Amino acid sequence: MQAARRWWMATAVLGAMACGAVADKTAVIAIGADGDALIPLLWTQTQARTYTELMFDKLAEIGAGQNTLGDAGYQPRLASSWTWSKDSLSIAFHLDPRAHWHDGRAVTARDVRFAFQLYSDPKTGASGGRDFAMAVDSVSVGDSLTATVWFKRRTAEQFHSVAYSMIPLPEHLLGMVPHDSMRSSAFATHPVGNGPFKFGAWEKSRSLELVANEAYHRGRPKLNRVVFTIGNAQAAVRAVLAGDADFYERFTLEDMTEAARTPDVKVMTVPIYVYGVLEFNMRSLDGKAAHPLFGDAGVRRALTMAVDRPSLAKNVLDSLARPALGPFTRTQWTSDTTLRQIPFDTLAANTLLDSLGWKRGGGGMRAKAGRALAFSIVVSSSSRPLARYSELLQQSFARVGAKVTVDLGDQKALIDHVVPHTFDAALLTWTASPSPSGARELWGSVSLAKQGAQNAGNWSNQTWDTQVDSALAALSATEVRAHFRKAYQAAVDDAPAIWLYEPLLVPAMSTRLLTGPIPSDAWWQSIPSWDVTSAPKRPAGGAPSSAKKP
Amino acid sequence: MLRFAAARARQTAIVAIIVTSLAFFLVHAAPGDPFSTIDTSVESAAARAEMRVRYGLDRPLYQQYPAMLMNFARGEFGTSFSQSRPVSAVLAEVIPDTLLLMLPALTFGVLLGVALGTWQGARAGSSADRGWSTVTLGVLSVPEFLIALIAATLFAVRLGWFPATGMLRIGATHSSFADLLGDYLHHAALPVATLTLTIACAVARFQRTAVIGARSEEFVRTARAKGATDRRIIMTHVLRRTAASLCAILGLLFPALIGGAAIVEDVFAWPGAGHTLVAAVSSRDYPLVIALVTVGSIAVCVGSALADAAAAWVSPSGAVDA
Repeated sequence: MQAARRWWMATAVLGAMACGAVADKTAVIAIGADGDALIPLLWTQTQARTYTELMFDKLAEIGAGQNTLGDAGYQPRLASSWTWSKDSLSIAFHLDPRAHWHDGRAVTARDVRFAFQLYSDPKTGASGGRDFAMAVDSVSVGDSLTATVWFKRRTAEQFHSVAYSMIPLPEHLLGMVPHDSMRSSAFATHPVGNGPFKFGAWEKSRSLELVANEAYHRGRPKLNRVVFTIGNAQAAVRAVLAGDADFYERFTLEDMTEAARTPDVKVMTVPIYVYGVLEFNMRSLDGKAAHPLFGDAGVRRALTMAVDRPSLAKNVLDSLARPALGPFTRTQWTSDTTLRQIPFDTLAANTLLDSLGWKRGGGGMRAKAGRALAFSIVVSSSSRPLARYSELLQQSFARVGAKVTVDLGDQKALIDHVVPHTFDAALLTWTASPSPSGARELWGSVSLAKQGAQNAGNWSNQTWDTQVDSALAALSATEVRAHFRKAYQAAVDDAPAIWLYEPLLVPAMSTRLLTGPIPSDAWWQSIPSWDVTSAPKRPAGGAPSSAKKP
Repeated sequence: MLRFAAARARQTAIVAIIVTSLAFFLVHAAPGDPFSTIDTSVESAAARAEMRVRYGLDRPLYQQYPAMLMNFARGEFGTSFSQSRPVSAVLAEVIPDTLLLMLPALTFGVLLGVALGTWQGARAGSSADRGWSTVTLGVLSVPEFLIALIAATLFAVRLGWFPATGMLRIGATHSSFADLLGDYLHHAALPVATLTLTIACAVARFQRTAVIGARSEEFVRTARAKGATDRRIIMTHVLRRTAASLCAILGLLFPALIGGAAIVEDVFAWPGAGHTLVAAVSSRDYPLVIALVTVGSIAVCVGSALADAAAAWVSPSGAVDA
């Protein structure tokens, strides 16, 4: 009996200690920059998207398979279920009656309709709003919990385009705000959402605090608080290594070495929707004529043959990248690893350039009709891998007689080149999404009429355009895949870019943090299921509040 | 003294106008647009155009420049592009945090530097003096950011003695002022130590030279002839003699201190003016960059004037040169 009592007491003491240890269920997440507006449709930076998607729920969340076709795998969020019309031109979303805004008001179908009005109004300035308005005709309100979305045409991704991309907003709070003033409204800095976390406090450029929504209709998150500490990338790495922060999503190869020496820190690798390319500009710098070098597909193919892409990826990112295969990532469901690639073959590259009339002259550099085979590569100094890539590409191209200068600037300077298309070649990373449809704007002729960075290299290819259009109009997965395969092969063959690498995301975290699998499309999506197993190394303590200064 | 203050105020105003103008034209000449993003959809383009109109960037520079000078003269620094709030509010937040870093570093740095330099000067030529001279020269030859990185890696990451970033525990609620002060001191230890080290080494080298010079002067020989001990000579006569040159040197060190603080702030993510300036430059936040540079230049002028006034005050002649 006494022994049993001792066991009971020991268990109670251990339990109390354990409870005490995790009483402060706060996770501190380091991020490299601050966000802009805290309204879902207005964010232009990933950080703001991170904040808002923890405070605002979508109608449905993409499943672990990241499938965007139909509604297969989608998990209920604000909508507990949905019904397709017989002709598939409308979907009725049945909202979860337990879903409430953080101010206590119920989420209604009017909020879904209101969001559609905001997204489709050009005055709001919602990114992608015009495309959204082209796909969706209207949203009607049946009863308070049923919103029916009417589509202009049937597409394979029509469910995805609404459930994933349109986030309901509170009409009772934003209804009176002019659409063109959303960004400057008080709501943009003190939002009222409906998601697993509520807005806590925001010290601009310092920290943003979210607190658990006790009344969240899908169950309270395990963490009490999530605090984002805002600094630069290097400081974020050191914050995790020193135990000041629990998580940073983007460790580099060098940081991993340091993390391996730190017993309290673990890292994982996550495949993501990012690929790096050397994009050629098909037009001259003034845009009036074909580019003297890259207007010729032969030159582009020869330069591609001069690059040993697997070796470069290994050299720059070791095991943290795979060679890219085309204008897609392996994480996309339309990806195709069996495409016929342009091989690394320096001899063939030299032969091809010879046959195109580019003859070697003094110093081994090539020229044709008095014009040297010389061009510049613009690259952002903020990306260490890309800066390293620029040096290695310079060496690779020199071996086939091409002289390359590297124009290194910061991110803003790079955008200054890319948006007006004033570059010869640019080292860029593109972020795709689970949906393959983004490639249409990024590489298609459809973007050429618009001023902007989409289709930065002015590439135009009829096969690509028609196959992508057919893919996006197709209704079966087999058809979509088949069309995309043809489109991707056309892109690989025509070489508008050298497909360099697909990086892996390397989140690093404190060993006390339990994250489970990190989603490929948005690492923050799993935060509501994160937990902590022990007290932080440097406990924040106390109830949510802004930090005071001495 | 009043004439001195008036003259320095005039100088400060002229320097501020020149620095503000340079900052204005340099930030506008830098490639990149404050509102440019890689997202170039029609909606984004419209939003960007609207932002440019809202912040007056649609007007030509020859109109923006005088408007900015007039606003600055009225103490209006405009609205920060990146933080969407008045620049004055940002300054009110970050300048005290920079002072919380710089003032302790300046105080400890000067005290340590004077002590070390005096001690070395009194033993000039000894092996200890040579050893410390090598140490101070070595420290000064290492870039400040490298010292900061080494300190952060060694004492925060490897040993875990101090936090690597920030000024206070993130999201903390402090139960008392002592708790708050302790938290601040814990976070400030590494950045303050980094700045202190460089200031102390610079001051020590100046002080050593000044002490050696003063010890060879006649008044020291006289004091020694009167039977004063070495300790008394140093503490009473030599330190007073070197105080004026030390103040002048501090005036010269002030710009370097501000620059060094910016670097240290960035390494330790200390939320002060330097850290904010680095972020503002990379986001092309014109009003914030110009305001921070202007405030920095005024701080240098004021610091220099105070150092000169202090030098005149401690100087035996007491002359103030405007």
